[in-house]
Amino acid sequence: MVLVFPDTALIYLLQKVVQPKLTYHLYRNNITPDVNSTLPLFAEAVYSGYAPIDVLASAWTFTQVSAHVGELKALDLFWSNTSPSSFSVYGYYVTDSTGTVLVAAAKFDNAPVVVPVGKYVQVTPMLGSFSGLSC
Amino acid sequence: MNLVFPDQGLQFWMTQMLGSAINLHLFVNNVTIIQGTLLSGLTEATFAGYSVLNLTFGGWTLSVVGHTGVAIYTPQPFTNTSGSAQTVYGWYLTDVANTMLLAAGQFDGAPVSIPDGGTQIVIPSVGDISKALTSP
Repeated sequence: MVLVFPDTALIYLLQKVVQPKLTYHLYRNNITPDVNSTLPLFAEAVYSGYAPIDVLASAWTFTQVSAHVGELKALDLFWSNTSPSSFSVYGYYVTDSTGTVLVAAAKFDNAPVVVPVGKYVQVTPMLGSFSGLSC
Repeated sequence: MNLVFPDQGLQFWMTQMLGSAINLHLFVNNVTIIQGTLLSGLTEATFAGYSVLNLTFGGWTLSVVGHTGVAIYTPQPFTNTSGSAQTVYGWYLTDVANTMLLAAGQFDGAPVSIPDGGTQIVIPSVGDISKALTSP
């Protein structure tokens, strides 16, 4: 039989995924995430003033379903460089609330990104899923 | 920039989706399930012996193989005690409030007749895949 996951449930299920929070991190090593990536591969940023950012379930305020694709977005995240020198990062990764499970990761298009003192890195949290068929 | 949802996250993703209990139903109308199907498009069975079955997280077996995550539930019985055969077309999953359609499927041999005193077994399953999402 063909099991169908309809459009109506897309946002409902995505909102389950982001409970109670997801944590966003920057990474500083030159790796390109793929479906086989695991958490130990990512070297987290360590510059002075850096900290991962929690995105609470309530922060995912933008929802949309279009052409069988569901999307959640939260307000942009900013990591400011308050250290005494510039730093470089290659992308960001997302973990569960315990910080032990890799949920998603992305390499910046223009990686490495060099962040001068007083500047910041900006990331838009987004999650997507699509309705489909499973045999 | 591609946002990648790796295999390691699939187990987490499915655990989150199935962490709350959901309900399993049978429907009795001949409807082709598509992505635009609504809960209101399904007619639930009402025969004697039928009842909605509640699926809790502990009943799911989760696995991730080949970038595909699969959750399979223990077989669920729907018994007909109505005194006559009953015809059903498929099964569907909702939230526990029975207001949100999560998934639906028509039986391969639909319509299926459940004889009086007979039982229709359903093995609920849910799948997901790891993938890259291209941001705008």
